[in-house]
Amino acid sequence: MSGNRPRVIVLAFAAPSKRVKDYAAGLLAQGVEVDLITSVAAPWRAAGLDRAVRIHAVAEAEERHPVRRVENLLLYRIPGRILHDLRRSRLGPNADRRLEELCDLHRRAAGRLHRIFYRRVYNVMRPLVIARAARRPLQGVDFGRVERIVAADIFAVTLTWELARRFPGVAATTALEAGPPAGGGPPS
Amino acid sequence: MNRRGPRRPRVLYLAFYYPPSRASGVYRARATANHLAAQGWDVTVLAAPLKFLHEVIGSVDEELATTVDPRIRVERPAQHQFAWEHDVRRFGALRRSMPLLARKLYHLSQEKIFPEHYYSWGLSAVAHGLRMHARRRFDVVLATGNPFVSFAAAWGLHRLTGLPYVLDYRDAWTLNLFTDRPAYPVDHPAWAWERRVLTRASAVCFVNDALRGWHAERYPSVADRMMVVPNGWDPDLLPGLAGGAGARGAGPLQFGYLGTLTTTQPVEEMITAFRRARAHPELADATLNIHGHLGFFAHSQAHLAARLGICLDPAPDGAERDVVYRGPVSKTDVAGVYRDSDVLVFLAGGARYVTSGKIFEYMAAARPIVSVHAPGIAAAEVLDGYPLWFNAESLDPDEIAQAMVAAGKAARDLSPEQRRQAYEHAQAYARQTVLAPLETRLRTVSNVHRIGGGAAW
Repeated sequence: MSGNRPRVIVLAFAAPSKRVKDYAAGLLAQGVEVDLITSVAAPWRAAGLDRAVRIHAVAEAEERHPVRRVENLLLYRIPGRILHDLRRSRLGPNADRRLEELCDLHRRAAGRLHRIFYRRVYNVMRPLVIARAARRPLQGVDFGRVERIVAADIFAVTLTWELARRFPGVAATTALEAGPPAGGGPPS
Repeated sequence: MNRRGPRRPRVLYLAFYYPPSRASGVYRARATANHLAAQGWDVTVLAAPLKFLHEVIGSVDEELATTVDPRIRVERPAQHQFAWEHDVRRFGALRRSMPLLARKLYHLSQEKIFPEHYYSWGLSAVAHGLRMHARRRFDVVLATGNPFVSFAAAWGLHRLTGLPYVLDYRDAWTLNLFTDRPAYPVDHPAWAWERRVLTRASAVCFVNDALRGWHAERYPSVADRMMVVPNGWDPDLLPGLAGGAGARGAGPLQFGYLGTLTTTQPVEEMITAFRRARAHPELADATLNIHGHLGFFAHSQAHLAARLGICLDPAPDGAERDVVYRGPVSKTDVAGVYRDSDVLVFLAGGARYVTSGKIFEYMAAARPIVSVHAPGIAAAEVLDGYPLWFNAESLDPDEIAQAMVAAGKAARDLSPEQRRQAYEHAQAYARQTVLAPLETRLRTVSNVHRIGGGAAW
């Protein structure tokens, strides 16, 4: 922590983008400290995000959310367990071949259902899930003198709103502005 | 007729951009409402919410608002800010908890209701108009676009009340003026909406004949109701220009551009040509002064300044610049700019269908005008016959530079007779002259007849 330097919290849960990377670089160049709250740190580092940006990854917490766990249970764990039990019962070569075909079918169907679920249902709920899941991991983080909270994509909006409540008077915006933070209050 | 005498005809004017907005089309709306009020109409304007002008567009001219006729009633129907709101604290419950769903619903509403971000203003305008009409009936609705949801609102009011409506295409809707091609793919809902609103309109106005022709070709059944109402210049905003802007003083030539500079204009060509023209002894030490806003939005300034290759900061003492950005000018101060300019540079984007409102003021200033635009521009119809027009007929910087040199020479030798002739040409485009046919048409469609001269009804 560097004490009195202003700090901007950027929240981004979509794939790493040049827009966010450049925004963070611009802020760092102006002497502003940047925290990035995201799902996983590695893709951002691989994309060349400046090392000076402090990353807080919340993917693990998101995965532990009941919605994800229920999906995992219904799509993978329960059918997987049934298939596993069938395999252990050794029903004969013909049945084994059928079982392999069934396993293959399950893999494809589960993958397809996951994609449909993820795109059509989970994505709609994801901002809410992220906001709930990130509460605990972010609770203990000392962000210092926060001057702006920026939602860089649509999945970050709900958590941005929650953080805005934690930092009353700090600008909470979806606009990635090039200038230095304006200090408290909404962006002009 | 009541005991107090005949009632004034009543017009509901749907003009989203209206003072204090400083959008480029606002002058036509201001002048139209003022002209109708002066001709005895009871005018009610429905305009954009002030919050939108101040917080989203960020471009207002408070002095311009003082030039609105006090008899005009201005109402500002509400509009939601979904497309422009960035402050997360101001998001509603749905948008902050399920932003993706909120965005999908918003896009769906645009698809199903009207394909513009301003559609909620249109709905509010219809509700507002209905309430006012129920209290005291209107005779006619006049709508100006853009935004074109005002056309849809006029259509909606007509369907609900039977009120006749007139549409004023201040701008093109389905035609891209800068590419001369349709602005939307064939299956876009804008086409269906345009056909719908045109079919029932009592009259449709365009700013030049090229635009009228383009629309007449696409909608032949409405062609006989189409008319041209050119833009014009406003003598009340240019009080010092009666008879032209007067003779030039001594010293280096001052070239001037006045207006909003946008990315669609050939700004690089203008700057390059001017710098080449300065090499000529006639233009030694000449300055190109750029007056006005850089872009329509506050954030576009830096980008345009970079394109212009100019510095936005004031020059240090003693330092000279060939191109100087002078900043915004209130509409009430523009006469002074024309007075201080020896040559005016007419910079315009697009071509065949573009007139530009600025050219009328330029002509009223009775100064040499140098054209910097693509050849074949619709504005040529207006400039044709103006005795001090220097047109390179090209965007080649060398040819524009030659036209600038010729205009500079003309400015030095300008006689009072030449100025008088130039001003006389501009008189045909004084706003009250160009708006007279529109006022007559409104009277016809609303079936209101003049029973006295001037403002007496």
